[in-house]
Amino acid sequence: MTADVGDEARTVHAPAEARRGDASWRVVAGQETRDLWISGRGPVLLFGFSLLMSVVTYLAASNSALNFLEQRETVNLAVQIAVTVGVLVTLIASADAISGERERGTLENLLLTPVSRRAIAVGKLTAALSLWFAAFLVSVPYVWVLGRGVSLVAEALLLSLLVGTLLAVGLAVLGLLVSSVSSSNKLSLSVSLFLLLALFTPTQLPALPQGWFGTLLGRLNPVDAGMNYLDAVLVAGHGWTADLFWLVSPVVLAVVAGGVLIGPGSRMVRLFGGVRAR
Amino acid sequence: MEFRLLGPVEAWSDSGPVDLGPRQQRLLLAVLALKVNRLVPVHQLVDLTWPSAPPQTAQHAIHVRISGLRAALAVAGGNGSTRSNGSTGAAIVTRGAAYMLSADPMSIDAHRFRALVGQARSETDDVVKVGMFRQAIEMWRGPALAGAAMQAVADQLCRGLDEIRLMAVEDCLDAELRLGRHRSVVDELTDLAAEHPYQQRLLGQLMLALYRAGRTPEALNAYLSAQSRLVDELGLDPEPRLQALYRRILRGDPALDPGGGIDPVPQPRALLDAVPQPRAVLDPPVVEHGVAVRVVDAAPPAVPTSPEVPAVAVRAVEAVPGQSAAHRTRRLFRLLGLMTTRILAGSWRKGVLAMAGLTLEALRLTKRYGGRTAVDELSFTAQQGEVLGLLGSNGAGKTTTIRLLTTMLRPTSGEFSVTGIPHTSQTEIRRRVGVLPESAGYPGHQTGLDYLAYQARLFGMNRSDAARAAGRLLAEVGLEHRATSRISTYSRGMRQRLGIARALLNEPAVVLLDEPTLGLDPAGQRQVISLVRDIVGRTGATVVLSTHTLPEVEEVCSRVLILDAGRVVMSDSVSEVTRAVAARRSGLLRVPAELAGRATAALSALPGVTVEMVGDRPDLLRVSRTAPVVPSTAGPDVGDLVDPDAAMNPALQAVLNAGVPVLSYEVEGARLTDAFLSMTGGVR
Repeated sequence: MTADVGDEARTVHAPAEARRGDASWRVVAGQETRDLWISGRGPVLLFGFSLLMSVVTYLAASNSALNFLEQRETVNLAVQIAVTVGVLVTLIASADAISGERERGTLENLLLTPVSRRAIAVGKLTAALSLWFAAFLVSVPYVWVLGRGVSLVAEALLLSLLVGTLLAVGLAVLGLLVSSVSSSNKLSLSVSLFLLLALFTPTQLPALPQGWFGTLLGRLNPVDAGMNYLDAVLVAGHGWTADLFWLVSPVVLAVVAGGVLIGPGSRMVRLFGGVRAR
Repeated sequence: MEFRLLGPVEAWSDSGPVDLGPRQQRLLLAVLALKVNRLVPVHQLVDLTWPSAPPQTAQHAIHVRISGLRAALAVAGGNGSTRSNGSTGAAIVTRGAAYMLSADPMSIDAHRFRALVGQARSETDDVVKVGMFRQAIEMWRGPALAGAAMQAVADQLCRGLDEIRLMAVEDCLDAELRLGRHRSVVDELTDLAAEHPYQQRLLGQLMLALYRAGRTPEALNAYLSAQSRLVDELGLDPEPRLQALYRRILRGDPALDPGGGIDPVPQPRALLDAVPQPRAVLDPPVVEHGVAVRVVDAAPPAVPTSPEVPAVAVRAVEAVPGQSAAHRTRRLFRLLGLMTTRILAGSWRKGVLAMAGLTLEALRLTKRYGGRTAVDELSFTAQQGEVLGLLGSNGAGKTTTIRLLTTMLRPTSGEFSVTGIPHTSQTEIRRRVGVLPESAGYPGHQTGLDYLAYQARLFGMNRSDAARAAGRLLAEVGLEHRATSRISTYSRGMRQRLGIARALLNEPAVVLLDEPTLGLDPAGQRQVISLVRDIVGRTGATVVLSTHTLPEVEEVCSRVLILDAGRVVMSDSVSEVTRAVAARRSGLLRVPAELAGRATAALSALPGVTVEMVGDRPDLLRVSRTAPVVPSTAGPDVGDLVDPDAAMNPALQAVLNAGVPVLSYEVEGARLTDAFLSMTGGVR
């Protein structure tokens, strides 16, 4: 009988629920975005990002000769830094999204509304991604300055948007999941930063000949693979479709992580942290 | 000057009745008289005078009416000067934005009634007790505030008085039965049982009176009719003590018979002992409620597909022993038909709950964290408009209970429903409950208005409706002047009021407030408690109030649920809880110092009584009960009809019999605080 009544309630309210579900993630996203940008965290992170880009751009521009190949490398360097740091600030925002609210005591009131956990997760993800898109916009003039004269600016920006968005989505979702299960905000931020560093470190290894295992790891690591794709197109001058295999792991990360968040992962948005909390 | 509220509102002076003017003026006097010598804010008078939509000139109208009342009282000689001269006059005084009737409380029949009932309950002689009860009951000339207040307002103001009246009637009838006057009270009891069909204590008295009057079939029939009504209309079985009485009548238990001379009666505890649990302990009374029918495991062979239907039906039939098979079969089919109709309508459970006025029902709700049980088989119900106090020491399971009821936590076992919606429909439950969490945080950078508007949008409102609702609720909780201030600038009290406004956003059927007065100063606590009262008065919602502020629970809650280590140790009205504790309470006895030794010896000779000297006071003794003290001449008993207030009387009698005068006796443990401490193993 309980099931019957529940089914009936679900049936009666299903269309309205669906409509509300469609709208409620936008409401959450709107408020979370305002909180991110009005409360000061977003502008501060973006200011730091623009400072870093300014320094990098100045050093790259002042140290490069008018050599055609070197200029492509400086553009690549700027794009890679923009992507990496842009993803980093996105990850910081998403890693704080749930565990931070939990610590501030504001999560319970959010969970007490009829908004679905999925809508809350998607809304928070959208807000976190706004940081990446803002970082991308900030990076535009720097890439333009460095890429003048080599007809590389548009291509570099498009590549940056593509690879950066894939990585930002994937890692922001991972950050949200870590934030959901972390028992404290500090733990969430620590784990997320470690995750990013662990993924980023291989890109800094010297370019030595690798065995099949090293190559496999490079292709599995979405950050490493994404950077390699940028290298291949921007520095080596390959066509966009020539080295698409490098994009497999960033795409898989974004799709799988997004699916997990919208599916079973949304159930992790709950009042208490910890893996076994209910 | 005398004021009469128990019936049409009237005032009498030495020269006769006083013209109190129009209805609203009489209502104002009634409100002030009910709260005599206490300030009543003007806004409260406005709310009571115009409950739905006060006119813009409401406050001015109140001032005019008060002026009219003052003039009427002055003409009748009840002005302030006469009172200050020591007469029994009355005057209405102004203090800021509040009025107060300054008068002798005993000049008001409602207060006299309370006092007289209190005296009657402490009286040991049943003849005198009956006389006092009858005198008190006769003060009622009709429904309280008749002709002055609308029914809803009268209910709000006088519900307590009505309860006391009913309790006085029941206590009086108890005494009558103890005096062997069962024949003379049968008619009265029959009328009362018809007037209060769900009052099972009255039914028990009626059954006993009929049985003793030699009308056993009618006694049994009274039970069966009541049982049928309870099952059909509320889905409940009679209370276990009533079932026990029914079985005893069936068996012809000699303990029920009059005897021992004129009218011997059963020993007072006899019936109580037959009942497995005291009435107030919820193990397993609410198993009988609503969905609990599913726990019945004896399904008959002729059960249709839905297991719940036969469970209800079989239980009902099983509970009617002694009836013919044909009768039972007819009832079975009638119940099956009723339940089938409701199942077909898809809402039988909601229907049953709605008929019973139940908005919240928990059944064996359990929450375990690994090996630790936070909430253990918690069962209770709450009705519409009820304020249910959830009490318990730290770690008793209050917050876990609230989080279970708000779907924040998943129960390990058991279930609950809100307005008939099962706990599995979490979104629907959240749509119907409003919650103030224990440690709610607020985004300090947002304004109160923005915060509420955002929350309203999460409940599905569009932008303009959300803004309107936010503004309205901020005004209702008195924060309209800070609506556009950042929440970070709010005091703790303001944040709590903001939280209450947030809890009301979705016009909930059930409002759950977890420690709303925590960390507030006394003024803040008063504001929050007033808000709680307003919520109930204005919205009719059920409020579950978890708090440690016990005096305020006494003031605002209609019923309390005391938790200890996750289990319900007591659930009843505040008065019943304190009465139950009073039955095993202690008291401070003052006797002449030189006779204290003799008093101690007399008390020590009584079984179940301990006595000790209090501090260095040789004249002060603490007398405690460690077991029931039953006088040898005790009267009849039906379930809990023994008056716990009189439980210490045998001990006092023993002191008097020893020739020791009792200079004073002050009862300890009669407040909710003591009940709480007693139930939760705090002290005493």
